[in-house]
Amino acid sequence: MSAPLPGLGKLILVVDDEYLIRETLRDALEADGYDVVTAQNGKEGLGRLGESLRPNLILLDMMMPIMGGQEFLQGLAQRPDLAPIPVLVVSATADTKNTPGAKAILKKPPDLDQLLWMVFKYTQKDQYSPS
Amino acid sequence: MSLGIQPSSQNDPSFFARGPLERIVKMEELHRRLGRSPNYRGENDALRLLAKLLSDSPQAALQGLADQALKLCRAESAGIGITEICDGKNVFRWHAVSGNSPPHPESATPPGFGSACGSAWAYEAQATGASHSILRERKAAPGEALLVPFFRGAQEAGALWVAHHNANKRFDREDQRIMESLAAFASGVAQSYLREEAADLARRRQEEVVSLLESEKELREKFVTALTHDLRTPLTSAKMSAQLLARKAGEPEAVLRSAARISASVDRAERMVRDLLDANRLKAGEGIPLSIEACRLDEVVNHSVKELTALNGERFEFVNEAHETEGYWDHEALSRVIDNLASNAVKYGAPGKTITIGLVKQQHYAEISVHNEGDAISIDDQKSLFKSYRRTDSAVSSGQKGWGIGLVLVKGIAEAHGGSVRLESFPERGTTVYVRVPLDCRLPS
Repeated sequence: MSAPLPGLGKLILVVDDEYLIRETLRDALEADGYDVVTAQNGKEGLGRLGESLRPNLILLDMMMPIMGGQEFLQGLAQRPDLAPIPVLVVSATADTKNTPGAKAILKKPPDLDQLLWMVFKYTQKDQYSPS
Repeated sequence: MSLGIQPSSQNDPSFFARGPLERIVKMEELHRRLGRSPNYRGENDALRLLAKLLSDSPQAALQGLADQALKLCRAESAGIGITEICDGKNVFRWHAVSGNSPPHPESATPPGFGSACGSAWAYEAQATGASHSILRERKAAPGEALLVPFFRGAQEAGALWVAHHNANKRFDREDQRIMESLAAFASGVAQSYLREEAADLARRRQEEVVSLLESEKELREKFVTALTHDLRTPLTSAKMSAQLLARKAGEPEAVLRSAARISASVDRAERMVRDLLDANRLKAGEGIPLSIEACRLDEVVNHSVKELTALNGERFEFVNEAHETEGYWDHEALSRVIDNLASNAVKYGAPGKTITIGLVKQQHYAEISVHNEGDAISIDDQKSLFKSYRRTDSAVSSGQKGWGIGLVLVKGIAEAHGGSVRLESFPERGTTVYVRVPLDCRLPS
């Protein structure tokens, strides 16, 4: 018997404009039992959330066309129902100044173990639980 | 010294053979005329005024010279022209006119016949010269003109002239004296004017060079930022996939998927490096080296579409109107063409819409096209599309990352095959790039 997958029953929203990254993250997260929904930019991400999608965690790229990560974070902060969703920034161009409200920043290319550990950590019950 | 012309005088006919001067009033004739008494006071006031104007600006002094010549000689029109170097050539240019004069102070003519002082010099008129063109261009009734060239050392520097529009009015010795006095002053004014112009020009050139260097530096910095960012994408995908591979070693399906992703990512990184090297080659004026062999273009496109789908998802449709297209090309280079055009279509086309890749074959050439829906590219942006490291305004404002070398490479590869590239972009219809290559690029085009 193998251990139960850590991500079972947890939903992650991946926002990144690169198809390669989105799909690689999807593979890695799904392998740990997470459900994954993707968006190609900040605007599409906010649109998804507007459709009552309530992920346990958002993985966010910063440099994207149409709407970048910073604007996405600002949009999130303005919505009291969405603001508590933890955001983990995975980006080549992030620093704490342009990522207001993000839980943590992982530089690209991230270490997979570290990434999955953080995803696990921020999707625990005491962090945020979508109603 | 000065020279006058009088359209109706019957003078030395030998002058007719030498140019457009119609009639020359020799200086002796001017001297024979009864002169009015010298207006020293008027001359003095004029020179004082001119000195003051010169301290303001040489251009103001040039205008003052024309105005004062008009006034003191009681003429209907007056003007001053200076010779200067323009685009490496000596030209004569009106800088100020006064009275009822033709409004063309900016026009430049080569010094020689046809310009007032040019005519005077052509006659070696230490003396004096005048051109009928002053009168003719003004479309005034033929009158008399008095023209005084001035010099910078032994060099002709310009000319000051006055003209009567009334056939009954004549210049006299006093007009000549006044004009020579003003012309002596004009020589100094012209020198200041040209010095100031030269200093202005040098300053402008210097500013242009500085701004060019700054914009090159900015381009390079942006390029390096975009390059390092873009390289991180395949690196990220490859690294995570490799780590995932190790974790899922027992699951064949996951292993295969990760391995395919690693391979696609490494290919992409490798292609970026090659694109960069080739763009530098093109920038240095070198062509892109090709390795030509027999191949099928429809297979090249098919393979590219598969790779593009692996990298970007199901967004591509291959419309093959040529079926089996055999020929001699560098298939690897042409697949880079398709990759670059399709990547642009993904980046700048309407999000999520299908991108159509077409192939047609004619008697002597094949044509690949890549079409995307979305906003049209402005005419201004179209002009800079094929310049290296220049990203269009709309490309930059789209927020898309880019190096500004994709289309340069496409053009370079097409041309290395003896082919060409053209772009069509219209609102409502979207953008299509066509790449045409001869069926056998080993043959001279």
